[in-house]
Formats: sequence, structure tokens, C-alpha cells
Amino acid sequence: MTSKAKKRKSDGAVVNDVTLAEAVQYLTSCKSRPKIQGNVELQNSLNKIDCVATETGLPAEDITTLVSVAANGTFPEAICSRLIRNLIPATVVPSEAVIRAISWMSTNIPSSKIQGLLVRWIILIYNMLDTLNDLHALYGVLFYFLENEVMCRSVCHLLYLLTRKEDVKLFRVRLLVRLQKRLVFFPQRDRVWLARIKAVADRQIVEGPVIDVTGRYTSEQAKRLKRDVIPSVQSTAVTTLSSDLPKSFGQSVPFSEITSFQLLLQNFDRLELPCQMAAALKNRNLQHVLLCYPDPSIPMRLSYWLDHVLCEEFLVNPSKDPSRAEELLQNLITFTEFLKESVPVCENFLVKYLHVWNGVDFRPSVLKLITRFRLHPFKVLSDLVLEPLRKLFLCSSVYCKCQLLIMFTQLLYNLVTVELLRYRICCKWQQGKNNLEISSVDDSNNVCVFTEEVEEFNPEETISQYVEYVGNLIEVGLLIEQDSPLLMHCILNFYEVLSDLHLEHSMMLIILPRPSVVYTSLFSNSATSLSRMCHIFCRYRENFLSMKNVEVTSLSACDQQYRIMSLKRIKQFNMFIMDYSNSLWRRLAFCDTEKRTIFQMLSETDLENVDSNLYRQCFSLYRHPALVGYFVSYLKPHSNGERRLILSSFKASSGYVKQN
Amino acid sequence: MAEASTERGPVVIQSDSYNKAEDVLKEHCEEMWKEVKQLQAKLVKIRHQDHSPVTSNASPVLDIYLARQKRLIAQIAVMKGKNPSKLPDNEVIQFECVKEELEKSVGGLQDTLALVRSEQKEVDSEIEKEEHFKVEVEQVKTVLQEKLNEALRQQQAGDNAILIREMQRKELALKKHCKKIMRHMAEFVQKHFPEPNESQLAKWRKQHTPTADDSSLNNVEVLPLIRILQDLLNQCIDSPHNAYIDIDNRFWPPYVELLVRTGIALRNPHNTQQIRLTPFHL
Amino acid sequence: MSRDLNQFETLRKDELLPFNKLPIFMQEVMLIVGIQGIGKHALAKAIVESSTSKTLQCRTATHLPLPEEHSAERPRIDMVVFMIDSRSSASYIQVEQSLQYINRQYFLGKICFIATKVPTETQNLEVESITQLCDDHGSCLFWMDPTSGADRTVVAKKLLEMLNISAGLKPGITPLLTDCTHRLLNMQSF
Repeated sequence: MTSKAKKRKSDGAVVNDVTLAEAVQYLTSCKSRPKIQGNVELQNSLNKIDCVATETGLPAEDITTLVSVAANGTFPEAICSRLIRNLIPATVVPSEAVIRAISWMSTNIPSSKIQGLLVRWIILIYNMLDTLNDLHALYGVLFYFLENEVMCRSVCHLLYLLTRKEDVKLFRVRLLVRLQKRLVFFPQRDRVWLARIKAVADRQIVEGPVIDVTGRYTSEQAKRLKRDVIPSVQSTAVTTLSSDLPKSFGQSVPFSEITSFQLLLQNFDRLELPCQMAAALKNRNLQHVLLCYPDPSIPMRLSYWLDHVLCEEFLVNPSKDPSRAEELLQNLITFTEFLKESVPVCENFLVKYLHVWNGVDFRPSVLKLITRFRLHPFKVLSDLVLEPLRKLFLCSSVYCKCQLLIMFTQLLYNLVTVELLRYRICCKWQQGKNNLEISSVDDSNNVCVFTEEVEEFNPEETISQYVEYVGNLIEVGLLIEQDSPLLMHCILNFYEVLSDLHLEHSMMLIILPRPSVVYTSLFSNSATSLSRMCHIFCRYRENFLSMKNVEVTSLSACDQQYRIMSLKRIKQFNMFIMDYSNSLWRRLAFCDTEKRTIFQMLSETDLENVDSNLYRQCFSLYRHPALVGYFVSYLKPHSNGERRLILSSFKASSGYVKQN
Repeated sequence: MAEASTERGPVVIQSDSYNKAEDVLKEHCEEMWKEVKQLQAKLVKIRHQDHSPVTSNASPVLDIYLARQKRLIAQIAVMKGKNPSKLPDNEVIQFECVKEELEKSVGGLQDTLALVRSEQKEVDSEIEKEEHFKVEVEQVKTVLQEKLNEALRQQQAGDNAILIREMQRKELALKKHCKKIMRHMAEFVQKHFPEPNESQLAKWRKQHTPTADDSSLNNVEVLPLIRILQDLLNQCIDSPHNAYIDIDNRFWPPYVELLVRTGIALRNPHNTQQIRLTPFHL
Repeated sequence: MSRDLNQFETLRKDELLPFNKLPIFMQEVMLIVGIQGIGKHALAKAIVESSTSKTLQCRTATHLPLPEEHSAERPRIDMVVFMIDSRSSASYIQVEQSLQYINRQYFLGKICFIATKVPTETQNLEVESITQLCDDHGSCLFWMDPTSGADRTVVAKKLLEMLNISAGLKPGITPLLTDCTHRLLNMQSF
């Protein structure tokens, strides 16, 4: 670059003298090997393209033109390379541009370096192509470029993006296996370039409607193309060859034609699945297919895609515009909620993400996804998931603590309703598979779409340790938040689920609430906490009674052990009940009865100076801070001297369970 | 508290009772401050006596955990020895404390109400969604069951005639299609890869057979490329277990080279004089 | 890292102590330690802005020990935050050295680490060595994107919650009590 040109470049006004149209026009009109040194017009044109590309991106038609300019050998390599790096689309890239690039590559006019650069460019703008079918039609041609040492890696990457099921042929696999030794991973070398493309795309979204250059796409469509990470349903391209075949010959119906649930039902047995299974993330019909089709490669294809995209969007290249990532998570949530099953690669991703998570970004979605976790040994669950959440819990606001508790409750619920059963069946299936019992192998596929090897462990152990973990956080949380009613509400929700493990979820497991929660409710000044805790006690009572009557011989050894352990807790449970009824009904709070109560809040010496009737009665039904308001409003209509009568009608009832 | 106020009449708090309450609190604070000061002095004193090293050579984590254990034991001892604190015997202070507590509680309960309402809404929409899922999944189940039954019925009925007719129709269609693409291929090959003419042949022979007196080579007719392809295709389909064809002197070597280099044909690794079609169909 | 006794004594003199001064009424003081240009002041600003109490002090230092000259006027420090720049091993070494000047009592819940989140290609320190340093001192670690104001506020809020507890402003709770929720420290509970 001459000094003059340099000066011009730094001076924006002069550069802007040339319009983009003029710049492109100049470059196309150039004859082979033009003068480079001191060619102001050329420099100006290049600078203008540079400028527009970085700021707003280039219109689709100019991209097509410039691809030819860069590839037809008119200019030296340095200029071509600069042009290609500036092929940043404003909206979409027409597939025509890519076809031209590959055509020029086939002529061997552009150097190997330029050819390689073109392939890398195609990879970067892959998601911005208007249609993939045209590029896919050149699949066979692209495959030949694998022979080229320089381009091999990039071509491999492109083929990876492009490959559809019907492309997988023995001869290609053989060739790739041969190449595999050299190719371990696709290098992420074009970060800066990709960042430039993303920056333009992000800006276009923020700035609203894009001027429609090609006339073929509405701005709305263009925006969607860039924003959506999830591909739309695209079926195998109907190639020129097979289009000659009579329609009725291939009986299968391409999935792109399945536009309604009714069509799905009609053609369920002769579907031709789309080339990108990832489309299932937002296509309900495809989710139905996923649930029913026995082919294990379908979930596997989806998993590979998901693994790559989640990593890319959240860990490697997080976009400045979070709406795209949020949409991806939302789709993933709907997907897992429909399947009632988490995707293992998504679990892996969450584990990685939680360790660098700031606790705020995408919080509702991240927490929602965690609620679907499968059963793991507690150590695994704790180290990978619960530990980062514990740290977050301890240093967050009361609202965040509540969100976490809601998540913990939902996770417990999913573990005992869905995952426990799934785990047991998977275990059985795995054992059956090892023993080659075909019959049990067949049954198993019904419980997971995404099958995974399961470790052998005791699921009850995981659940009880998990409850322990949440109990710890609940106790500390109550102290930190000074018995916040909001937090208490979420805590009681948790214990409502926990109290019914035996009756609702047929587990031989009863775990009591933490004493601090029990007594915080008893001494609370909100009637809901008190009455809900009483209700929880009623549920525990039902559960204990039912568990006592279980036919022991029908249980496994493990369940028997858990049953004994659970029934041992009756003693403590009765103490809770004694304390409640002593305080509420018998007006004997803080009294040392023959059955020692658990809470010994006040020592006798401490109480010497206080009227014993006062402290014994202060948590009775009609004096309790949570109930006194109700009591007063109850008395008001009856306050004509009958007060004595009503008071005497309150009687203590014994609600506790006889211990075995 | 509500009960108390109705019995004793509304609590009217005079300013002098407020002043009195303030004095009580101040006195309380003074006492506590004195205690804090004493404790801090004690701490400083203990520190001067403490000569244990700050960190050892290895990772300090063990030291830290030991110190934590010590501290926790002390904290437990303190908690156990502590009686719950009482509010001072001053009615104004008691009233204000309870009031503050209740106000805080009301605020918290209002938040809770909002949360409960949103949870309710969420549960409602979830139920609706789940019911929708259920209807769909049940429909899928019914349809699949019907299709399965239909298939089983056809199998039992042995509707072979229809099946055969259908197969024949397909075969015919395929044959027609095959003919068409073969024609396309023939045109393409004939246009771009014509048979070598005499001069090309002569030139090649001169280069590759220096003796040039092998009369047998000179007179043999060279196979057109389309014939080679045809042979390869037929061999591949007719005897898939041995798809190799022998190369004799009718095969013009540059064409064989071309086929091998482009990956259309494969050489037999054990016999260089044999080639086969790459199994594109597998 | 063996030091002779003399050195040892001088070190102990410079040591930062949690209880050598009386607390100021309802006052919380945080000290942020990290190399120049790491964004200590931006973080301090975010902390003060996120705080609801008016009596919060944030002090900054590039390294410890703190200079002796103004030590008399300096308030009691309730919590120390160490910032590590993932791009610079110098910042890691400086934090490592500064840790020598911290009294053991601080490690009972009055210390925390912040490491900057940077693009992988500029990352010079291994993530493992940073987490190892925090684990060795039994303290927690936050990752912060130094270019994002929102991320800074998020970290600031977390630090404030921790500071409230370590300065003793929450009745009935101590940093060690919150630590007891950890799985490894919770073997025989109940």
C-alpha cells in the first residue's frame, strides 16, 4: 500500500467517496493482472468494501459477484485473500455464491491457499445460506477435494456439516477412515473472522428491519435465518436423477411435507426423516417420531449436534445477543418436558456451564433444565451439580434462594416420579443385555429415548443424601434470611413432596423435616406456616401407618433395611407432635413432661422470674401470635359473655403415632 | 397484640415513655459495647501468646481446616451455653419490636401471595400442556396399533398376488429409469472421453513399448471407455463376490489409469491386472 | 519456602489481623487486593452501588502487607477479596505472596477469590492452578468477565452477601456455619 493510499484509508471521508456499487463495478471490470502499486482506485474500492463489510455486511448479490472476482485469478493472492475475508453477509448468502466458489475451485485457477480460504468461508457462513440443497448437490464434488493436503481439514469440517444419512457410503467411510489418522479435531482457527461475521449479524438484529437486497427474502426471514441456531426441517433434496422416478415408487414421504399432526398420523409408517435431526428441538411432530422410532442413530445424531451447539453458544463463542441462546434453551426445555427425559449431552453441558456460571445469566432456564437430571450416584451429583448451586445459594438474595429451592423441589419430584423407575428398568435391561436375554432387551427401549450406560448404585441412597443436602441449605438459609415467609413457603413445598415418598411414590423411605423448620413453623407469626406444617405432619402420619402395614416378605433386602430405618424415625416424629400439641392444645409449651420434648429452649433458672402460666400459654391456640388475629375475629360475633364456654370446648387430641 | 390493645384500650405512647425506652436501649448498648471491648482486648492478648506458625511448607489447607474445627467447637460451646435473649422489660420497646416484626412478616407474606399466584398460573398452564401431550400421544398410539394390525392381517391373508403385481410394476419403472441414465452416461462419456485415434495410440505405444515390434498390440482394437464401464457395472452386479475384471491389451491404459485415479475403479491389491468398480451402492 | 525465624517474626508484624481493632458501629469494610489494571476500583464502585447500607467501605491494595504508615487510621477489615488476572501469571504470584501476610483467622470465612474470565487464547494461567489455590485456602472462587458491567454487579452482590455474614451483621449465622453445608464437612450430621 502506498503512503498516499494509507493516508486515504485513515481519512474516512475520502474512502466514502466511492460507493459500494462503484467499488464492486470497478473490481469486476478489471482486466487480468492489473497494476497494483499506486493504483488508488483499486485501493479505494478495497477499502470501501472493507468498511461496508465490517459495518453493515455486504448485500447478497455483491457477495456472489465478489466470490467470482476473488476466485477467477484476476488479482494476486493477497488481494483475493483480503476480499474473501471481507465476504461478510448483511443478511443471507445466496447459494449461488457458494456454487460459484466451488466451480472456480474445480478449475484450479485459484491457488490452493485461496481454495482453502473459500472452504473456510463456506463453513463460517454455513448457517446463513439461503438454502442448503444446492450446496448439498455438490457433495460428491466436495468429497474429491479431500485429496488436497491443504484443504483436507476444512473440507472435512464442511462435509461434517453437510452430510446426510444417504451420503454415508462404504467407499466414503473407507476413505475417511484412512484420513482419520491425520484429523483429530476441526481446528477453531477462524475465531476473529467468525467474531466479525457475528458482530454484523448481531447488529442487524438489534437495528431491526434489514433492507431486502435480493428481493427473494423478506427481512423477517433473513433475520430468522441468522438468529435460529436450530435448523428447520429439510428433507433430502430431490435430486435431478430421482425426480425422474415415478412418485409412487419411493413410498416414503419426506418429512418437510408433514406440516400437520394429522399428516403425521397418516404417514407415520413411511416417513423419510429430515437430514438435520436437530430440527426435532422445535418440531413437535418430529418429537413424536423420536419417541416411537426404534432407530438408535436418530437420538445419537441429535446428541452430536446438541453437544456441539451448546458448547459453541455458551462456552466457546458466547454471542453478545443473548436472545438466540435463550431461545435455544427454551426449545430444549419444551423438548425435555415433552420427552420427560433429559438429554445426556445436555447434562454434560450443564455441568461444564455451572462451573463458570455467574448465577444470573439464563437462570430460570438453566434451573429448569437441572430439574430433569437423571439419577446419579450422590457423589457425582453433588460434585458436579449441587456444589456450584450450594455456593450460589449461600451468597444470593432471598429471591434466588427461593428459585433454587423450587428447583430442588422439582428435582426431587422428578427423581422419585420418573427417574427412579427409569433407573431400575435401565439397570435390569443392562443386566439382561449382559446375560443376553433378548426378551428383556426388547422391553427396555420404552423407558429412554437417549439410552446411556448406567452405573450400579443405590438410588435410595442418592435420594436420601440429596434430601440431607437440601436440608442443610434450608437450615442455613432460614438463618440467613431470618425466617423469611417467602423462603418458608418454598421450604414447606419441599417437605410437602418429601412427606409423601412412601404413599405417592411407593418408596420405602420416610425422611423427617429438619427440627429447625418444624419449630420455626411452630413459633412463626404466620398462620399458613403453622397450619401447613400441621398438614405435613398428617401426611407423615399416614405414610408411617401405611409403611408399618407393608407385607415385609414381599420387599427386597434393601427396601427392608430402609423400612426399618424409616420406622425408627417415628420416635422423633412423635416428639414433634408432642411439642405441637403441648404448645397449641395443652397450654404446656416449654414444659418438661415425662416424655422429654426435643426443644429445651429455656432453662428453669431463666424462667424463674417469669409467670409460668404466661410462657406456657403464649403458644396456645388462642394466644399464638399466628392465630391470635383469627381468634379475635372469631370471638367478635360471639362476644356476649359466652367466651368461657367456647374456650372450654377446645380439647387436646392425641395425633401421634404409636411407636412399634 | 391486637387482643392486648383492645383489653387495655389503644396504646397511646407518650413522648416521655419514648425517652425512657431510649434510655433503656442506650444502657443496653453501653453494656454490650463494654463486653465487645473486653473481648477484643482478650483477643489481642491471646494473639501475643500465640506462636504457632502461620502456614507450613505444604499446602495450608490442613492448617486452615484444623483452625476451623477448633473454631466450630468453640462456636458450638458458645451456642450451648447461651440462653435465648429476652426483650427488655419496657413496653414501648416490646411494642415496637413486635410491630416491626409483624410488618416485616406482612411484607414477606405479600411477596409469597404473588409467588403463589404465579405458581398457580404456571401449574394451570402445565396441566393444559400435559393434557394436550397426552391426547397427541394417545392418538399416535392408536394409529400405530391400527397400522400394526393392518400389517399383520395382510401378512396372514397372504395377499401375494397384489404384492407381486406391485413388485412387477416397480421393476418395470426401475428398468426404464436405468435405461435412461445409462443413455445419459453413454452420451456424456462419448462426448468427453472418445476412443483414442490412431495417432494417439501410436504415440502412446512409442513411449511405452520401446521395442515396438509387438505386432499383437498394434492390431488389437481398443475398447471404448463406455464398454469398460459397462463391463465393470455388469461384473459388479452379476458376481458381487468377485467383481474384478481382467485387463487385457484391449484396455487402453490411460483410461484405466483415469478410472483408478478418480476413484471410479479399484485395482486388485493382489493382481495389478484386475480392476473392479468402486462399490458406490454400499 | 523455608524462612528463618527472624524473617518469620518480621512477617508476623505485617500480618493483617481480623480482630486487632474494634469494629465501627454498623460498618463493614472490604479490602480488594489485585495487580494494577485488573479493575479493583470498578468492582469497588459496583459493590458500593449495589449496597443498601450507607456504611460500607471498600479499600484496594495491589499487594500485602499494607504499608505501615497509616495503619493506625485504617479500620478493621472484615473481608479480603483477592483478584487474579487469568492472563497474567504475575498477578497470580502476587496474590500467592500476599496470602502469606494474612492471619489464619481470616481463612475461617473472611476470604474470597475472584478470577477474570478471558477468551481462551489470552488465558495464561491454567484454570486448575487457580481453583487449586482457592481450594488450598478453603475459600470460594468467583469468575468474572472484566469487560461486562453486568457481570461485575452480579459478583458485587454476591460479595455483599458474604460480607454481611463475615462482618457479623446477620444474627445467629457465621461463615463457618454456612460452610457446614458442604458435603465433605457434613459426614455425620443428623
